[in-house]
Amino acid sequence: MRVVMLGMPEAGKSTFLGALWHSANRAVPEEAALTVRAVGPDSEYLNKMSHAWLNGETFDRTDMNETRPNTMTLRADGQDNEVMIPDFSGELSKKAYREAQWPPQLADAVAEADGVLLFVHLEDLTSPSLIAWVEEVSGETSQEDPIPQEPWDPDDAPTVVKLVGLLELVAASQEKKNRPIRVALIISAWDLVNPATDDPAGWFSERGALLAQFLRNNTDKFEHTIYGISAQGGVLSGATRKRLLGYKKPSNRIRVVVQGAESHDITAPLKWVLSI
Amino acid sequence: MTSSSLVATPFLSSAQGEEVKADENAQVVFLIGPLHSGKTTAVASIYSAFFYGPVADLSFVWSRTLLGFENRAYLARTSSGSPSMGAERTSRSETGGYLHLRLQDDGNGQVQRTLLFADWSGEESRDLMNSRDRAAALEGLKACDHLAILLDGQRVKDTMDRQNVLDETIQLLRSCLDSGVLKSGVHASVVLSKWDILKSKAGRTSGAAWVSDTVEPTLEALFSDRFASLTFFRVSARSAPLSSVNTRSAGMGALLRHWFDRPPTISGITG
Repeated sequence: MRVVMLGMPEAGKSTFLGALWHSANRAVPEEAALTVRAVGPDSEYLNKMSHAWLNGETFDRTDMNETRPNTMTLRADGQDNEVMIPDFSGELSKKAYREAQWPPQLADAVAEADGVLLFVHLEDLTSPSLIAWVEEVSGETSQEDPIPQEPWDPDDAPTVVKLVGLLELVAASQEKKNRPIRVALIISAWDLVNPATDDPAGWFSERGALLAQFLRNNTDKFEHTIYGISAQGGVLSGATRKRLLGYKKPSNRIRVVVQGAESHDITAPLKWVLSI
Repeated sequence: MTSSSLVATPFLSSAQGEEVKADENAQVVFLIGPLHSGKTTAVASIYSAFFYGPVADLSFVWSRTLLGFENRAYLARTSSGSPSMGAERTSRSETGGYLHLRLQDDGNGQVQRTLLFADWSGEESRDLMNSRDRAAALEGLKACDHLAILLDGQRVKDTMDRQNVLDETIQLLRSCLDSGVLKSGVHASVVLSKWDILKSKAGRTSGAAWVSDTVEPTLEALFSDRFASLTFFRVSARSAPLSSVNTRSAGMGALLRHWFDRPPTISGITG
């Protein structure tokens, strides 16, 4: 089974995968939806990511084009499943959005995917200002000098627009399967949400409204669940860092919030997206 | 939607627009207006409203031209209020064909329809006013289901300029109608922007009254029998904080519903 992780750079994909690998490797079935039964030949890469997460470090990708298939055997509900979760650079998602087509590295992975993990950093969910059909009503026409205009760059679009663009590409790639694909939308850095809430979907319907409408209105193409996840548990600096990295059970610093419930089980979105 | 229709482009060409019309039962909205009437801003404003949620019970489904809308939104946001930096920022080289927006009626059985906004340059606007032959050459006009005429409330407020606005509007409508390319059954919308400044204390006694007493009756008398319908809208869209989503774009919701609720005409292109 194949999962593809998509999202702009710095959206939390690698941190998630590192935390997932740690949790699935250490957990017993009562603690996690998925547990590792066997590793593939890419375990060194996964172990590096897990190590970085465990120590609160940033995982440095040395090459945008470097991708490992990350194959593993995961047990769910007593059944073993061969799963592949390649870790594509966010730069490839960005390129796909700009060019409205998949880079070669992503094309097959998306077409063959059984599920999508779509990442967005909480702080990237800022809606653009409404465009007034009128200029500010001052009673007079502005006499300001024209603002010098920089050329328009697609990268300046709001993140939700980029993610809608990515999902439109996913739909095109998956069309031959003629069934909806599961999309777990993962809002990373959920520890930063303010005020606190246990309803990521409700929160997202306001902060990511365009994408929320898109997912809601295209159920023939997508089945989705929205998760708020803090893989690190908080901002890793100062006393907070010391506290979080000092947990006897490291996975307890992970927070996974969905549909009013919270757990430490970061494997849950993967289990759902693969329907296993 | 077919697989080819799922792939995004900045704009849909005329041929792609025709394909979408057939596949998605789309309606073509053609925005016209005197110079600096704000066509780019109007389209961008409609698009940006969905970032805050549904508008008048219409919610966002899909756009094949996200990059095109984003480009128009960028142009609208970087205009500073000087007429030279307003809606006619687009030059002939910058326009494509259509901007695609598929919406769902959340209040009516989740019916989905597509609106295609014919995207064309401010230079062509100037040509259109003075040449019905130019009107005849505009592909979007031939496919038009809804003709939306934009009037700039700022110019209407100006007592030295308002007669020009009415004259230019009449010239534009005559050009479009007399070109012979508009198909039968086209719905016309006259959209007055910046209604809030006409309603303001300073503008109420002349601008708002002039619209009610002169503009609307004149256009009604001249053109109501030449369209399937002629409807007047007053838009006072303002930038609003997230918490004030219900105050977004007063009038825009009614205008969107007007376009959405009327199915495209069945008759073919005449002329």
